[in-house]
Amino acid sequence: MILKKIAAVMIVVGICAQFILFAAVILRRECALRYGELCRFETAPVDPFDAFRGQYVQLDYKALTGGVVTDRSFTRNTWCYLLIAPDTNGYAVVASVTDKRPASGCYIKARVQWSSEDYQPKPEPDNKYHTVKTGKWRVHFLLPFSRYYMPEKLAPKAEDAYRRANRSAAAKAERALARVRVWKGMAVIEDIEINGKPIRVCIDEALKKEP
Amino acid sequence: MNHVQYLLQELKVWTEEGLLDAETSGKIASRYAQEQNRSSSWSRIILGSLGALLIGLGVIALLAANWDALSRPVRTMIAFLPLTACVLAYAIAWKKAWTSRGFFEPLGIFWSISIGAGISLIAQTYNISGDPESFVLSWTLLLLPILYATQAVVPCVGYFAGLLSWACMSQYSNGITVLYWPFALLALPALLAIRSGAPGSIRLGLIVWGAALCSTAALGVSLEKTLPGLWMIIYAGAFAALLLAGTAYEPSEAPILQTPLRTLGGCGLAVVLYLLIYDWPWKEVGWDHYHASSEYNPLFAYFDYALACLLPILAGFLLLVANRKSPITLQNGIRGIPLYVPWGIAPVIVAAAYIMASKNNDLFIPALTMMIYLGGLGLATLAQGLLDRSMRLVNAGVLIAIAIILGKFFSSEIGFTVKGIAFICSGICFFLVNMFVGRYLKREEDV
Repeated sequence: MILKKIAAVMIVVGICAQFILFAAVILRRECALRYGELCRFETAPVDPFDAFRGQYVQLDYKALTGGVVTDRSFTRNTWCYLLIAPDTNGYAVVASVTDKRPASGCYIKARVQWSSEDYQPKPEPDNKYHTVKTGKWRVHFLLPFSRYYMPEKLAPKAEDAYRRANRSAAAKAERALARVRVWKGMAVIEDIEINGKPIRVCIDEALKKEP
Repeated sequence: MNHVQYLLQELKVWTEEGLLDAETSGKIASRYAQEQNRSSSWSRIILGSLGALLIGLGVIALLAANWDALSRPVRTMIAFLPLTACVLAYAIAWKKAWTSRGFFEPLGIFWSISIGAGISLIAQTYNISGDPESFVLSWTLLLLPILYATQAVVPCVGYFAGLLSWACMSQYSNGITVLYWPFALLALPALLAIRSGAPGSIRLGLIVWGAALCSTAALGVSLEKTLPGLWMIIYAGAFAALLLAGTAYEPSEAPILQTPLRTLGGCGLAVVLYLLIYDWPWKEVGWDHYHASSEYNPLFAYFDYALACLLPILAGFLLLVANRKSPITLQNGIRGIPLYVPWGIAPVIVAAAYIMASKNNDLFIPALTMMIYLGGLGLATLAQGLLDRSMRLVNAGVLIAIAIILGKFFSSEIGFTVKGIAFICSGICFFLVNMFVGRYLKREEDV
């Protein structure tokens, strides 16, 4: 009898949990897309061997690549809040990192991958570079917005466009940006822009040019 | 024509010939007709499950092909569709009090796939980066209501396999792998319900096999291993507990498929004890070699200590329970001690050897103790096999004895020619024992 009662509770609670979890994930992201603040992150080149896994483009951001410099270290796997602010060009950068949820402002919740002491190269008279500790810490994060899903056929084209825009020589001519909506710590990619155009438009144009 | 159809056909002939009266014939026919129905339902279950799997994969492929053409709200709706369909199907089955396994097994598969598909579709729609660890854990935990609702094999085994996969990933990323156990306990009432509803069934056997295999593997993953060598006591305790639980609760004369606890416990214990006859497991064990680096969490080490104490105690308790089923009868001398007793006390012997090794930093005595103990177990198994006329036990006993001889022989410095001859001689011994015991048992049966 008790087993039947436990089973009934598990079934009812479990089925409700299935729907609630799905709905919660969707609603939070819909809220971010509708009411979130628009942040434009400059993208950075990624490791070519890790750039494509299936049907998504692996993204990296100039504001975060190489880690964020902070005054203190953060423990691995803990959650932190990255306060986002625009730089002089209007692109989003990380202004500061805190382990307490900010009361206001634009911030993203992210998990710490690792943190290490910060070093800076110090030119020596013999032209050999040495590094010195800066007294600060460099924190790397697992970003919740590092994938952009594409249809299987368009994905390789998107990859080409993304790489071209991020190549150092072409970077000045072409610029890849991620339009990210940020709402209460939640960050959702709205689109990827290459030279101000959505990535899908760029791919369509490239496909039309192809013989 | 299967054996049941043949029997029913013969039954008619026997009744016509007057060998059986109509009433007895009717009783036999109804009994075997039920069995035939059961066997046909298994074919229906397998075909139905295959159908559910193909439909599930087909729906996902169709959606994936047209995914880009659909708007975000439509995609979101689609992510919910398979899940809603499964819940509705279950609600109808519950309302109409359906009990057919041919319905619930395919539903379990389709429902499980629909959860994974739903998570993936939502992740794609909103470009969620989520790591594989959280994906596997979310999918696995959402299987819980399915295994309670359908009591089907795939969600039940999938739940434990999912938890094991998560534990492996979590161990790699320094996560809290001990959480495997509370999560696994959440499925325990479902397993007990299946056992009370269909005791000794193949379905129960498959589910318990899956759960026991995953859990014994997860045991190794979730240990913190701060105290070197403690795994020996933990694994000996775990396998002894499985063996004794199988002896106490599983049917005595059932095939391997329906005796997962006894089979896995016996085989696992034999393997662990076999490893301990060598020197290497006893090197640098005990508190003198405690791992105190930052890689190890001293808090989670308490889980290891708790297991090392509780599992031998559990084995002791199960020994008493098994004793109720087949009691020790000391009037018959050594013959009156059932085989589960010498096997069941393995954690105590291993613990004693462990204390010896950790105190004296001696490798030889513990390894020798284990070799004598395992050799004794092999002989006891062989003797019990002969007494019970069980070829399975005779072969197990001979295999243990040969494994010890060959293992020790091969680790020595003797040349390959001698080793090769020893191998051949052991093989011949194995064949001869099989042949003579087989003949002896046949002659006994004939008499």
